[in-house]
Amino acid sequence: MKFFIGDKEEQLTKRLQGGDKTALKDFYSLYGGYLTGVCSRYISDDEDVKDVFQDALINIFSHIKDFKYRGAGSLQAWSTRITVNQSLNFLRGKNKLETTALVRDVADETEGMDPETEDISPEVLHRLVRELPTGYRTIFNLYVFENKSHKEIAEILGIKIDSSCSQFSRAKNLLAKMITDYRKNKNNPR
Amino acid sequence: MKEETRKQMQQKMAAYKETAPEVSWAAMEKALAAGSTVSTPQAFMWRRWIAVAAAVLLIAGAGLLTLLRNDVEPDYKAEILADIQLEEEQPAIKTETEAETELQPKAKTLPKTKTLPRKKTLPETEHLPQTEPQPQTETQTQANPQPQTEPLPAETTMKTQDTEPIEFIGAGEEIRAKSSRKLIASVYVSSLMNGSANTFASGRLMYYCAAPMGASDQMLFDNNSPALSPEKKVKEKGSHRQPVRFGLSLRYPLGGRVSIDGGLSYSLLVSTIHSTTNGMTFDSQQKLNYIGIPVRVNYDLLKGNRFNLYTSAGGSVEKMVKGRRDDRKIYIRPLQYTMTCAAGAELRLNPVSLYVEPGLSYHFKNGCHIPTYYNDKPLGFDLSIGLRFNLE
Repeated sequence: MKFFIGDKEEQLTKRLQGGDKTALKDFYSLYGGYLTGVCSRYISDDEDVKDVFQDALINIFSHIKDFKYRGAGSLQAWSTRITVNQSLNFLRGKNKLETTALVRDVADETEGMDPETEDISPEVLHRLVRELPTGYRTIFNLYVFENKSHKEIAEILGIKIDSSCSQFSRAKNLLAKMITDYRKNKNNPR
Repeated sequence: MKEETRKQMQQKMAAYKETAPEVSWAAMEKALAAGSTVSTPQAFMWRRWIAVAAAVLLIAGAGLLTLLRNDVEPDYKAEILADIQLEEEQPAIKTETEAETELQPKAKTLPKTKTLPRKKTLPETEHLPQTEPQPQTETQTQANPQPQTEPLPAETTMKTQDTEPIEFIGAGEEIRAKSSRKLIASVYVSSLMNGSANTFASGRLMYYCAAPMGASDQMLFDNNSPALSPEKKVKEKGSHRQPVRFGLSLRYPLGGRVSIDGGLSYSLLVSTIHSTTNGMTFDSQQKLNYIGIPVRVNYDLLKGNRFNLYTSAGGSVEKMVKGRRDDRKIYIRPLQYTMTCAAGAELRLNPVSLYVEPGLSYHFKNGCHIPTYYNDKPLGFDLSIGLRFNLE
């Protein structure tokens, strides 16, 4: 999950911490696309993604002096955490994490099928994740892409561990169903 | 989910990029610049010291002016005389010999008194030499005509245009032709200037000092989610904006230089709370609304025709009536007690007066550990600006 740019990243870090204004645009060029992808995985509305992304950049540049470079990929990882935080703050502030109505066709089991994604392109997978209900999507992203345990997710979101498990299970099963439907539509276009 | 599936999905999305949205670099540089100018603690310290120095200078200046002013201002004298009906004396026409032997009257000065009783009496005046009034002729002129008055007794009650007699008061003090026991209403706005955004408090464990409902797994996803459980502990730091207070008060003079104020106030405390748990930091917007009852005693240091200087001391008790952090309610049951002292300058522009009051305030701990401006910055500088109206 990391772009390895080695020495370039360290130089960029030094320039940002030194107040070099051209470094801001270099950062944007290097990481802007990736961070936008992270942001849009949490937020489904494109206009909101634009606002949150800009706020995340401001946050990154404001606190860059607090960052300690710890090797290749550390700047990207740190920036990703800030972007995820900004996205979650946005969702909490806008009260977007509304009650997720149960989807009847999805099995409400803790153990269900895992989505099979070998033949699914990143763009399609991203789009399908984005189509999940907000609550499911948030927990799914935190578990799968941010590597958080259910205990950590429960602490972050202020919910019980069991709730994180059950919400994730429903998200996983729903995504699996969506992938199956995608394959059907792809093989049998109307 | 199997770990293999998770890793597969992570690797698939590791290189995923989207077209980054256009960014307004001008707005971003402005936001970064604004953040840097506001957030430096050194800037806060300088503002605080400048404000405290201004308050000290104001109080010291008021005291110094009171001590230095010994002469009655001509304006006061004219104002006094305008209200008094004096018997007019014909100016004396003197011969040269009489003028030479005449004692020169000394400049009249009014004795100092420190009280302002209703009874009006004239102070002792210099006895002027008596001469018989000379008839005035065209040919007789006097180079320096000396107006003469009959010697006045030590205390003489003089009639004035008003029914109430007037007392001449000492240097630097205005005559109160009519004693004032009227109520004075004030409206004001004040700002606590002890800190602003990005002034971080030390991290502390969080719990709500109220009776919250227990956290439930629906809390995050429920629009009517209750406050967090008191057992939930998260490290928090607060970035507090300068609180703003609006108020109405009534001032009642107690006599002399002392008066008492009482009224109602509304305060808004806005903060950004940085919550950190398990390496993730979340920002929440916290807004607390307080209603308070301030009471204080004022003492006039200097009172002129249009300009007053005074000091005041007192306190207030406030109750938080509404609080939210993002979409969650906050309950703070304990009352907030504050002690204040201030110096004020007032400019009278009839029928209203404009006043400014720099001062200090101290917010007592009330046992609540929610990061608020009151808890994190108990001692601070306060600046009030307002209008006063005489209620006749």
